[in-house]
Amino acid sequence: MKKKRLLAALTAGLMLVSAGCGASGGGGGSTSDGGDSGEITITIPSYKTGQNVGAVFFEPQVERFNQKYEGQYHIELENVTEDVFNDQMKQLAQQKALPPLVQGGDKEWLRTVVFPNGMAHDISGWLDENPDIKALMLEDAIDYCTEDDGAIYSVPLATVRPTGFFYNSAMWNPTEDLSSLTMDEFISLIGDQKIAFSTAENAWVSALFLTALIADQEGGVELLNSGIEEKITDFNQPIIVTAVEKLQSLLQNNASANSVGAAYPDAANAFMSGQASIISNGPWMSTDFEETNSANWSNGFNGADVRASLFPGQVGIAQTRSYGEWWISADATEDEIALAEAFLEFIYSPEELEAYLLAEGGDAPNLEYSESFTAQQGETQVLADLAADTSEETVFAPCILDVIPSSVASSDLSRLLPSLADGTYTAEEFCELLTTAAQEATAE
Amino acid sequence: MLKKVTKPNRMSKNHWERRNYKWIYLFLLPTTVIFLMFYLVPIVQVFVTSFTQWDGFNDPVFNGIRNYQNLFTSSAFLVSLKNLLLWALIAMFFHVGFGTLVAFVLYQRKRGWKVTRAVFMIPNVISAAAWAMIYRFFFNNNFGILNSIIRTIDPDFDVQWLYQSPWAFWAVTLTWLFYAVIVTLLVLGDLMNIPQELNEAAIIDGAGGWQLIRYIQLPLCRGAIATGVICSLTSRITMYEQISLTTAGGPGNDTMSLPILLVNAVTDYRYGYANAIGVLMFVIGLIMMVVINKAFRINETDY
Repeated sequence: MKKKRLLAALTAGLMLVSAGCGASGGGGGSTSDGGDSGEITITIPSYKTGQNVGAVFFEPQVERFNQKYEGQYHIELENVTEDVFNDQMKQLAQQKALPPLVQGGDKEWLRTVVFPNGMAHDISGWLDENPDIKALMLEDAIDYCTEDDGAIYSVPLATVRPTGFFYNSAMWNPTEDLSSLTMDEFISLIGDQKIAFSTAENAWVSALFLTALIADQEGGVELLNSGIEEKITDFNQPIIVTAVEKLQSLLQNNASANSVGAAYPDAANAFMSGQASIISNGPWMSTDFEETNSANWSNGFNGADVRASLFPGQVGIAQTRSYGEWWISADATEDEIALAEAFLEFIYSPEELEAYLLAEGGDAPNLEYSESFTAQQGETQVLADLAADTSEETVFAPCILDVIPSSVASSDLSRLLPSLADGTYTAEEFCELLTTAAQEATAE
Repeated sequence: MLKKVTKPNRMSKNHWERRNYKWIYLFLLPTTVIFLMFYLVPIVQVFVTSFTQWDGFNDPVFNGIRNYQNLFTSSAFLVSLKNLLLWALIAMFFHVGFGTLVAFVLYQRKRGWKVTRAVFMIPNVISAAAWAMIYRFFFNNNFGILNSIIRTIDPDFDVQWLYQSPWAFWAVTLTWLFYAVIVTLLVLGDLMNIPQELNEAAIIDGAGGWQLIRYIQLPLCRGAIATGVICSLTSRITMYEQISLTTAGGPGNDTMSLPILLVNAVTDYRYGYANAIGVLMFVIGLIMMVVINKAFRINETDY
């Protein structure tokens, strides 16, 4: 009897330990059938929630979906900060606890781990059943997302948001069409104007300029595009060395005072406090220039004075050969897949695409815009500027951060930039060090 | 009569011992399971996979000592080892030395010593990440307090402490150098445990203030100082936030550290390589502990 008691106690102890260790702790998204109502509900982790700039459009969009499908489908959002979002998706995948509908994830992880290992649901059938949606998608994106066996896991992009730069017309008001200039003409034109650069974190703002400087050269766009398939690990190429020389000159002569050591918010602050007249960033920054965000302005900065342009050489930084934002987990049930597909149909509807473009900027090349959309787009000056610059002549180039090894993009580039800025390294030395870092990062 | 008394007693003793053993095993079980699951298994896994090429998802592929070869031919790794050695020496002599000095000052129990101890404790309740951010502002070239003070003397002074060689190494060092409260508390605890009779006997024998410290108090704090050195050195091996949030290992490789390299390897899905770095950190930590144990004769008792 005592042995049995002891055995029972041991078993109970083990169960407690197992339960403690095995608890997922939530975060993986869950599904319920809504009890008697029959409504299918899923929870999806998203970084476009709370204070994230993407939440301004995305949260109301999910609400609109929930209203449209009330009683049938419902999506709950779980707030995950953007910094840890990709890591959390990887952890959920390892625990086999992915949400049915997954928002993004590290592109390299999707390409090398998720899709080859059958962790995603094939949506090629759904796309074939919805030709109107497929017609909206970018051809490059469909081509990139189509696997060798014809399967499509990531929902291809329908929009492209070319990144250029913003300038404060109260400080600098050129009359030229900036995107039609060459980069050398542009650099000559800006004179001693200050540019808000960043060198901390992933040196985002500096990386955009470096991308534009590379893309401006003969063969530069092709070089950047080659990194989509195979990461660039040789930075000693003349195109890159020349671009780095120009970047060094800009960092030394035109950088705002706080550029070295600045993270993106510091660079944005330099621009919105009149310490710099130029900043490179995507169209999503347009919301910062709205009157509702004037609390972030200082020193007489006025968002209404801001204008936008694509980079010289009609270069827009955007990656069309890329995975899209959404994919469906292979573990999703039929009900969950139906909900996910309904959500994708909803967000790829012309009305929602137009709402998205009005909120965050960009272009949907295969969408025929409504008159009201065109009229409303013109009301936001910077979006209208970018739309005017985007044409068939626009050259799209991927950001350099997306075509070099991850650790070089997230760490080495920003680690080396301060020494480039203060002249410790020449452009050649900088490129040599980046090459060493990239080759070490990819050594097998 | 004796037999009748002793026999049941012996049986009873064995009986109770057996029953106690069962309970001992029961109470040990959770700790054993947790140790196996969260310490031993991961450590073994790290060691084994350090000899593989592994992306963290697909099956690891054995590649011998390739990861270690790549490590020892990496310039960033060699710089991080050199930095670790320098930081270890600085920690051992200056960080622990400062903490011990403060402990001896507090031991004098002058007016306000308890308040001083509490104030000295404050940085320890603030996270390393928060401190790193504070230091980013402190060392900021434009509005940082350090350069603002220097510019009252030299208006043209212009140094990017965290982003310029060779200052970045020393700026990062300053983010932890004087926060030695753990060492102070350890040493102060030992000092307060010294029997008063020992101090009194030394004074009667004619020992002055310095002799009292040199020959009585300092040797009796040997264990605490050794523990402080171990804590301090292991913190240097694992130091991540202070570097990641200030210099990220730069400029160049000036402030590169093993944890930064490890995280970079994880970013590139090179878990085998990252685990090779983990193994080396583990081995370096073990070697440091053994050396300090021997040097300070930490297992020998003083009383």
